[in-house]
Amino acid sequence: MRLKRVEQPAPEFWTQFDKELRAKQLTAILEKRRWWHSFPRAYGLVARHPMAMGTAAALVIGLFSVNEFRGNARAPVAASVDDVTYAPSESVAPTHSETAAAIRVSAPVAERPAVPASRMVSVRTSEESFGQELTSMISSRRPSQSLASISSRDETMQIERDERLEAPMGRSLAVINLAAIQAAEPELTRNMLGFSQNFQPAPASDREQITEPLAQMPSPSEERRARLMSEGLPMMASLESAPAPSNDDVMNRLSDNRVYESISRDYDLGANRLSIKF
Amino acid sequence: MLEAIKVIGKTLVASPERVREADDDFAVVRQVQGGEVGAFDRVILKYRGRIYGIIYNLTSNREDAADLTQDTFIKAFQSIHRFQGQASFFTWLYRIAINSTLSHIRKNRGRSFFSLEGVNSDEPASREIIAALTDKTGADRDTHVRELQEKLNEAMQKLSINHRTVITLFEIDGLSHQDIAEVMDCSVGTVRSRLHYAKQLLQAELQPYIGK
Repeated sequence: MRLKRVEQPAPEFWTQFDKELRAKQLTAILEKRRWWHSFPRAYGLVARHPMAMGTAAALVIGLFSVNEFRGNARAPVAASVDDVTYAPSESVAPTHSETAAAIRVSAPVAERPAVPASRMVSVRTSEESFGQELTSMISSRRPSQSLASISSRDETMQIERDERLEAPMGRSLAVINLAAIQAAEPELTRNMLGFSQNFQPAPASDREQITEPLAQMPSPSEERRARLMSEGLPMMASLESAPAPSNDDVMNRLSDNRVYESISRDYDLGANRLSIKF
Repeated sequence: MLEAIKVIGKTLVASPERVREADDDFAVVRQVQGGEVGAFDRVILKYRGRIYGIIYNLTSNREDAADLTQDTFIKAFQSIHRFQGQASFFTWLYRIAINSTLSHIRKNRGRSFFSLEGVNSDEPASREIIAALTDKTGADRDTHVRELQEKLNEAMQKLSINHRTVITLFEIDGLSHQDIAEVMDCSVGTVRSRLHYAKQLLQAELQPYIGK
């Protein structure tokens, strides 16, 4: 070890050493320090105060976790079934429309994308909601205004036909509902049905002038009888003097089945919805 | 608080010369931190031999030692604004030197070769040592000294990095156990243990030359 101690460089070595060191110092001064050179400094700061840094890190993680937990707790589990407007997906088959609607409804309302007006469908998933709407329309005693509001709303909507309406149960419920409404408010029902192109009941004043076409045509037997009577009797019976059929007779001749078939063809009336075609 | 107690304890334990040296170093460092860059040359002049000696004895290569010594001073100059005076400046500078050297040795493991300094026989200390180690004269003596120097450096290189560092700092540079513990960031007991084990290994390696 004493020998190792005397291993010393020559004095001229230090001259060269100083020159090289000066050149390296200048190079180091001119060289830009890279961004990762600050890492050891940050590590040194952490290593110098490990307890403080560890506590701070634990606090930050804890606060973040609490915020996340509160955020999850505040999120709605499921939106209300009523008054939910949604756009059915193109990929969902019509036969699974109920399932698709249930899936859509369970999603948070705020996360739903904007729905184009042409694809909007108003869903009433319960019979009570439909009944409530009709009840409110009836109680307002202003059928023209209610119908106007419905029509204006329907102008912005393209209502899709739901296959559920094709179910016999839905059809029967629709018939029952329509019959009940017709019994309660015949005038309102008549106004509502007036939107149909195929079924346009005329006003009562017009209906009084309508006569049965068959009644206007003279039967061959009557013609023959009239001819015989004209030969034999001076008085001739005129068919024009025949009394016009009453309004009740005309309504009775229209069978209920025809009315309901026409309604079902032009109106998609279900137990829980009303769809109108234009 | 703990750091302050440690500093006070070291100050009480350290010798007056060491305390004075530390104060001088701290004053120079304050000057450099204050913007007087030229004051750092005094630090270089004061410590370059010791730093070079440590690195040379760790690497057994004079070129590597010169480069690493220069890198040590450049790093110290770049980082001197972070020196807070909690430890003595030479401890801080030694730590930079040893860390740079250990990093270099780890990077170039298996690619090291000897490039030894000569022993100046004109100096009285060297002459005395050579005379004590050899009983020969002339060319044979120089050859014998050279052979002994190579064997000693081979034995040093067979030690682990930590054992080599401990024995270099204690036996060659003359640092105390406490200073070595601070430089190597370990306990004094660990330093003593490593020193004892390193001496045993060196004795075992140089056994054929000890009896001569």
